[in-house]
Amino acid sequence: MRRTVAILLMLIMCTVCTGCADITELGDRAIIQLAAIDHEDGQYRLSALLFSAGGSGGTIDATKSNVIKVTGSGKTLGEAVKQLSLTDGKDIYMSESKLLVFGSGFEDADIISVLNMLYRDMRCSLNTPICCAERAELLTDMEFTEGMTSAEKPYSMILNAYLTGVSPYTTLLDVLADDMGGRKTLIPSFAEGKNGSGMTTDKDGRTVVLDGARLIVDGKLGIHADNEETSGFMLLSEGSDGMPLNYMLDEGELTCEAYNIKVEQDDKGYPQIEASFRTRTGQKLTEEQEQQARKELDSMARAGLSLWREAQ
Amino acid sequence: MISRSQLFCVLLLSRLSAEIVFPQTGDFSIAGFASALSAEGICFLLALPVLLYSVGGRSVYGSIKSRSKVLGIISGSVSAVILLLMSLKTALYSAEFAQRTLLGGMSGAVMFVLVALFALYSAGKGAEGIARAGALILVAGAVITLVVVVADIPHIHVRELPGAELDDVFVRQVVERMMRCGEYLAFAALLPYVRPKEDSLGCGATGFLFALSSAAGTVLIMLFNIGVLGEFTASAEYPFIASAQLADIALFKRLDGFLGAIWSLAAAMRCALLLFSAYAVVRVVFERKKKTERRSI
Repeated sequence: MRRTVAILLMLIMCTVCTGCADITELGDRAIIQLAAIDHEDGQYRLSALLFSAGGSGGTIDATKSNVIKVTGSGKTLGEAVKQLSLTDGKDIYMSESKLLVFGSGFEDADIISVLNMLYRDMRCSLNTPICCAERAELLTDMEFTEGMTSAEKPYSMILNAYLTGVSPYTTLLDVLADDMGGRKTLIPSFAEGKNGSGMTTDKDGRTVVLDGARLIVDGKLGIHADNEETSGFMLLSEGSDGMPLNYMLDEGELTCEAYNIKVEQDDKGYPQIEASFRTRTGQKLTEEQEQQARKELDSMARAGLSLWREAQ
Repeated sequence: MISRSQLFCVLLLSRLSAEIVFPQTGDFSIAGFASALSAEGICFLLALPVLLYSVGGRSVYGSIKSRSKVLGIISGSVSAVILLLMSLKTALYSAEFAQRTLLGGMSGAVMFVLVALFALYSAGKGAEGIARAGALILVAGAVITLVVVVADIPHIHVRELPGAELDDVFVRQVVERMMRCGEYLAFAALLPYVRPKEDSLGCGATGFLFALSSAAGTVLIMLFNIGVLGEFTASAEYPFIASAQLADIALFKRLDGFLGAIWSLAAAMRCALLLFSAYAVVRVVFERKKKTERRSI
């Protein structure tokens, strides 16, 4: 009797808990790789790159983009997601999103409520990177030729810039935690560029480039900072472990790396920077070279000073 | 009969599972820590007489009953009801936890029934079965938790906690946390099942060690959550699972799934432990003494 009950229980658990009931096959899920959200005329426009193996449901073909672009719109983000799901005919799955992009209209619309909805209802992962663009859809329009899916390129651009120390890497968790702590958050910003021949399928070399960063203030997109200001901000906020520097001397243009960077505020609240310098190959700089590199570092810090103060 | 180590393991598993599986009520402030430690301290003080009494390795309820039958029945009945309610609460919360973190498409009611059936079956296996399974699940839970903590090290930041007033929210948090500590009652109920040893300190030392580990575990989990999530800790429903979402070791991504599965099982085991403890108490206080026949030789 006991064995019969145990076997029956096991069978029930196998069918109920393993997903045999209320099943959604992997092929029936729209796996969103990149989600771009614009807010115009009171309407949310969600534009997404969905994973599609080889574009034909077959094996993954690295030579193809492996994604399809689908858009949905509505008065709420939920409506936009619903429309997107109806258009694609699949269940939306956002847990594997590589990037979230906020675009036009978020100077007035609230980003935090959108992020909360994406985290709680759409199960977006807390470590999903966040960025912005003047028009978010720009990133889904670009068909990047590099990477398994075209969503990987903008992500790798952000990661590379962050590792170089010139741009922030901000996740969904960072934005939500900063908002709860009453802090401002800097997120990387993209703009259209024309120097990427072969980078996208566009014949004119149209692509996107990192164009500095924007502050999220009280849940809305605030001031925009250019690349120089963003690098300065990263320096002052000790967001970078090392910073590449270019400087001029009589022998021409030289490069070095500032490392072990420490920033302290003086009595008047001005930041004081201390750093060590070395060449890209790890050798020590001459006194003259170090002096020039320090000047370059100070100049970079001055560029980011107003943004740094704004973010305090 | 179970060993003292098994008793310690199953109690610690039960306590930690409540900390992870129960929905969050704390906040990102000093008051959150204060409420957790206050609840631990109050529970410890309330359980202190039982812990001291258990140094002798005797059954608490049996001793009360031997002195006063009425008092024994009352104390036993109250304890059994509290244990049953705690078991029910754990089943509800663990079903909700599993549904929200693992099986989103599944009905909460079905999940509750499954947890309840698991708990009933496990409780039916007796103290030995619960203790053996509990020790194994604790090891599995410790391994996966350690992996998550190690993977989350890059996300841990030292943060300054804001102070907070000790207001009614604080009191509510202390009370809510106290409602999680049913392990001392389970400890008292399981004493008759512990294998007697020559050193009489045995069971009492296990109880004191559990009290210390419970407080340390609670504080460490809170510190970890705050270190990883920062202010978002106050907003996350299950902060430990939210922290685990960030864990990423080579091919092992989304370790929160593993963590959720193991600790759901641990919570179901807690349910079984509390259920069996309620049965053990009832058995002791309502047990009739066997009549001994006197025969004249």
